[in-house]
Order: sequence, then C-alpha cells, then structure tokens
Amino acid sequence: MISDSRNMISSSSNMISNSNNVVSSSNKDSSESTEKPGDHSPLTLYDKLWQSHLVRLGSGMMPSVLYIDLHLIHEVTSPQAFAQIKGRGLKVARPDRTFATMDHSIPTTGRLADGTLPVIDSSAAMQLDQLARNCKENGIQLFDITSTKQGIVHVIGPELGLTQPGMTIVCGDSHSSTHGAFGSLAFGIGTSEVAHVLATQCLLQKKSKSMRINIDGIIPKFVSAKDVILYVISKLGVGGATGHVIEYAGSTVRAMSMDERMTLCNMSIEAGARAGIIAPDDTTFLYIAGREFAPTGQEFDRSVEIWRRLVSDSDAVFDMEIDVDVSNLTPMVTYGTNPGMGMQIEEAIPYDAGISQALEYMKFQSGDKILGAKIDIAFLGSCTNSRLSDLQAAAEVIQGQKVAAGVKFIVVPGSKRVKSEAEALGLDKIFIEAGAEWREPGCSMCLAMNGDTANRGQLVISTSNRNFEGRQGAGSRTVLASPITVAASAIAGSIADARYIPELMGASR
Amino acid sequence: MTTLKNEQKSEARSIASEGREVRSITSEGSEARSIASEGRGVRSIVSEGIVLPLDNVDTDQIIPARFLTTVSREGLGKALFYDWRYEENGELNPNSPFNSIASDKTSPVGASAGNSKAPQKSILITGDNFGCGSSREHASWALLDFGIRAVISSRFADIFRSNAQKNGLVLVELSPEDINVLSSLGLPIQINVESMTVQCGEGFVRNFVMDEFDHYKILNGVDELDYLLECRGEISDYENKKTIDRDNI
Repeated sequence: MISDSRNMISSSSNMISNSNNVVSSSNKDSSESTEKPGDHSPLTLYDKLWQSHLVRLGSGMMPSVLYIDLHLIHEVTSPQAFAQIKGRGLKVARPDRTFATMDHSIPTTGRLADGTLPVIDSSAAMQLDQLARNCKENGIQLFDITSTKQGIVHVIGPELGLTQPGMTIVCGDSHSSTHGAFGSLAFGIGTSEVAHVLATQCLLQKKSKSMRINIDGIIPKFVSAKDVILYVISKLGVGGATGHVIEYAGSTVRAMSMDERMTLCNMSIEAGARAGIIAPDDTTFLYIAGREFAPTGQEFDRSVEIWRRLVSDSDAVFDMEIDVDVSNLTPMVTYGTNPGMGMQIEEAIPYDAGISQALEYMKFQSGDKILGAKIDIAFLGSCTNSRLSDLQAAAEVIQGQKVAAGVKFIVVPGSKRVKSEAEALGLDKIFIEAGAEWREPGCSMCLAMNGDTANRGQLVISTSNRNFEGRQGAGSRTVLASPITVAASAIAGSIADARYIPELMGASR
Repeated sequence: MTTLKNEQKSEARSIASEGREVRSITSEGSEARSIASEGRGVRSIVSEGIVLPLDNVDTDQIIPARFLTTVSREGLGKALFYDWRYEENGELNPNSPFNSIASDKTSPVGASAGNSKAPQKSILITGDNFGCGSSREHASWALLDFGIRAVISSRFADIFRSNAQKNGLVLVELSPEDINVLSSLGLPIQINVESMTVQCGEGFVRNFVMDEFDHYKILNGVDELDYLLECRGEISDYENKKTIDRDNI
C-alpha cells in the first residue's frame, strides 16, 4: 500500500486541480450527446443509473429531471419541506415510495419509569411530533420509536430490503451515499429538495463527473473497511472528490460484506463526492433475499437477472481513476478537525502550516504520536459503523476486558433489529460486563443533537464520520476510528492499537 | 461612494423559495419572463466584506446541530457560526469577524441581532471548499437570516451550493489569489450578479463564472418546484413505462 501512496498523492493533486474546473465544465454535461439513448459508447455504472432514471434530458442551460425511486425521511430535515408543499396545496406524489424514521434527535436512553421518553427539549419533541403528523396526514409509513423497525435511516433502509440495486435513492442527509453500496445512485439533499421529491418524486439534477477507486489487496487482521475509507479520504482530502460520483471497485471491495461496503460508501461525502457506488454481485443479492420489502420468488430471480447488468462496461472511461493497495494498511485515526486529517495509528502527527488551527483545537502537536492520548469517551455507533458486524468486531476485542476507569464507553446499535440480533448473540452482556453502556438505536453522539453530548474539552474516540470542531458537543474533540480501535481504546483508557492487546494476539477472526 | 450607498439600499434582496408567486419556464426558456422588475431577483450586492480566512469551513460550524431542532426556516441567524461568535460564557467573541467593536463594546454585525448601529455587512469572503460536510440547508437559511447575501470562495461544496441557490444566496467563485487581495483591501465590494463581475475600490475588477441555470434562477427568482410541477405529465409517462417495461434498468 505504501508503495502505491505516491500514485495516490500524485493522482490526488491532479484531482484537486481538476475539481476547480467543475463549475465551468459541468455546464457541458447536460447537453452532451453521451446521454442520448441508443448511444453505444461504453458506459459506467453511474451512466447506466443516470440514463435509466431520466424523465427529461436536460438541454441548453436546463438540468435533467431525474426520477427518485426511494425517498427516505427523518425528523430534522423534513418539517419545513412538508410545510412548503402544504402551503402550496400540494400532496405527496408517491407516499408508497416514501419511508420515514426517527433517528437524529431521539434519546438513546430508553423510556423513563413513567413511560415517557426523555426527549432533550420541547423543540426536539415538537419536531418528532411534526414528523408523526406529517406522515399520518400523507399516508407515509413511519418507523417511529415504538416500531421494531426503527433505527438510523441509513441502517434500516438496507435492513428492510428497501434499498435495492438500480435505484435512485435520496434523503435529507448527506450520508445517503451509504445506499450506493447496493449499486444504487444515492445522495444527500437539502430540505427544499426534500419538498421537490415529496411533490413530484423528481429532482432537477446536473450530471457529475466520475471517479473510480480500485482497491486491491487483502485487508490485514484488526484492520477494517473503516480504516480503508479513512485512508482513502486522507489522500483525497475533504474536497478531493467534489463534483464527482465515486465507484469503488477492485478485489478488496468484491471480498467485502455488505456492512463493509456500506461503511465505504457512507463516507464518500467526506471526500466531497456526490455519491459512492459499488456494483452489486452475489453478496448483494444474498443480503437482499428474504428482506421485508425485497422482491420474492420469480420476481426476485428476474430482478437478480436485471441487477447483474449493473456494472461498468469493461472499456468505460472515468474522469479520474485511482489505485489503492491495502495489503499493508494499519489502523487509521484522525488527528485534526476534518475527516481528511487522518494518519496510520503508529505515525506521528504531521508538520503542516495548514493544520495548525486544527491541532490547536485538538490540543495535539506535530511530531507527537496519537497513541496513548487519554480519552474521556468511546463511542461505538452511527450510520458508518453500528451494524451487527461492527458490534461483533468490537465485542471480540472487549470480551473479558474492562473499560478503563474514568472512561465512558457508549454502544449504540444502529437499529432495533441490530439491537435484538446483538442481544440474541449475547453481545449486550459482553459490553455491559466490560462496563460499557448499551443503548437504544439512534444517531446519538455522532452529531450530539439528542443529549448524548461530550463536554467541552473532552476527547472522544468515535466510530462516526465527522470530527469537525464541536461536532460531538461544543468544544469537544473527536478522533475517528474503527470499531476495533474504539474498543481497544476504551480498555486502555487512551488511544490504543488493538494489534498490541496480548489477549488478542493469535486469536482468529 | 454616494452612488454605492444608494445601490446598497435598493437592490440586495434575498429570495425565499416557499410561498412566492413565480413565473414558470419551459426547457427552451421561451415563456420565461423576468420578474426582476418586481424586485424578486437579485441583481447586485454592495457591502463591505466579512473576512473569514479559513479553508474547509463546514456546515457544523455554520450552524451547529443543536440548533437544527426547529420546524421553521426563520430566525436561524442568531445561531450562525454560534461557537465562533460567542465565547463559553455567552459573551460575544471580540475576535470574531462577525462581530464589530465600537466604543469598546462588541456587537454583532448581523441584521438578525437587530443591531442598527453596526454597519450591515452582507458579503462573506472565505477560503476553499466552503460549506462542506452535512447537507443541512439550515446553513443557507442562517447565513441569509443573519444578513449575508453573498459568499465569495474559491470553491463550494456540492450540496451547499445546491441549497444556497435555492434560497437566493449568491455564491461567487474567485481564485485564491484574488480572494487574498479582496480580503486585504478593506473597501466596499460590489457584486454585479447580472454581469458576473466583482469590483472593489479603483483597481479590482474580476469576472466570475456561474452555472447558466443558477445564474438565470438568481436573476429571476425562479423556483425549481414550479418547473418540476410542469413536468408532471412526463413523470407520469415515465412511471407507466417503468411498470410495463421492467427489463429496462
């Protein structure tokens, strides 16, 4: 991997200079002939997904009209959208293609003794109420706090079989890119666009540029998909993929489980990408089979036949292409205040004028190691890493160990289903015995809207996706890492490398 | 200077995307009528700049998540860059470019603070990749509610860009070098949206590029939803075709 890093670095500087041209060149895309049906030039998977959802092809200055197969909503970015369409006397066009959950501001601490939910404040409570009312008024299925299907929106979509290959999927949340793991075109939208989709099931869109990231090599033990994507983003930078849709390909990706692919695609937005896509294969079809909203019987077989065609043509050309070899990858951590400021866990924090404000905020210094930095909180959760396999990986590390004194370790399963499956495996007992807190599903401390907040100055090691200043609480400091690294650090009481925990050496995974 | 002040009063208006009567447009633009004369489009913005010389300013800074529990688009200006504008003890941070110091007193320069004494600054000048991170449109609402009408950066994050131009927030891209110069001039800046130029003082005149459709929208106060609603026939055709023609991915 390190031998390829020069390729990565030189590629990424090309990318940064290319992306400055995005504004002027994106104008061309809507009128280019490559979009016309019947054209036989080689197509990327992105091309295929784009073309198959065009309601009206853009021309001149006009963007295209893109049909949206699946619209996921939650309480934070939808109220103003519903108000907007109601104010114009419009109805929701396709309630059958719209599904809602409560995740961002709900508490993860369960009901109080009197049965009430300890929602953080009255405006959050109003927001949750508003979602319930909006869904009821419009006939939209809502997986609310009492539902066994409730959870983080990007966890439950795939879980329920709602997310399927070949779809266009949107949500008022930038981590919508997660669903691209299934070979769908999935991206985040703002509240005004939520209103557009509610009213018409369509969006005005200009086509993005394309990038393919080929990942090869066998991921070493105790290293995970999270480390892979943190590595990629550290090379691309937080604006490195702006204006592009990324396709992840290569043998490493083919060998990944759906959970791992979701972790990769989830963080595409952190490199500035519009979306992240992985071509579906048998792993994908096996995952989907039998899920509640998945096709069944003959229809499933027919769908799989169609889905198999969702690959980039062998001679397809991408605007940017990068190769990554992960065979020597080690656990990654971030040291600064954006997800691009990442490094391998044993490295020293770099010297760079551009990171001085970040290091001042984080109370770190160039030249220092991050290993051994005392932590206050360990957080295992978020749409990046809160699925069953993430909990299992962390449980394997923490089993028989104790959370260090003075450290709070909170474990937030991504959905009610993940929680009950984990409990059936006894994972909850493993975490609780170690001294961790086992919580109800929700976004929780990823963005600290619901009361799960770090205090000013506290250092959190987190499986989430953003380490911006104050993300997990005003004045709090975040280090991003994998579930394994977070668990190891919880035991050590400081940022720790799981590979050096004696009890784990020689343990098979 | 007198001329500039007059322009400052008359033309800078923001557009809310809801509840406005707007003309609809066809794909050829033939039936498009300019409604700028009704004052709904944005033609030019004149103001001194608020200089925030940082790259990668993310939407968590622009509006922290704890302020997202609102069901409204209004009133978010108070929360704009909250953790940078206010100190731990709740006092205004005298070092923030969003606050001004007069007679030893720190006050915010924003309209939402109701501060008629501090000069209104409606142009934000900042570093590369502004608005990265979360898709929260609340970031644009907060900027506009605070009184900011335009942002000048070398590059904007995709989702932020899309949200901004649905709310009439003008985004101007200049080179990092030009931004450095502009930041140091300390003079009122005139952004002419129609001609896509930025002027400042005697010697600084630059052109900027804007996506044609974004340009059209911002000049004419166009609402994308109207355009989409006009496509309902085609949308219906598409849906019927998809039901029948399953083999076409």
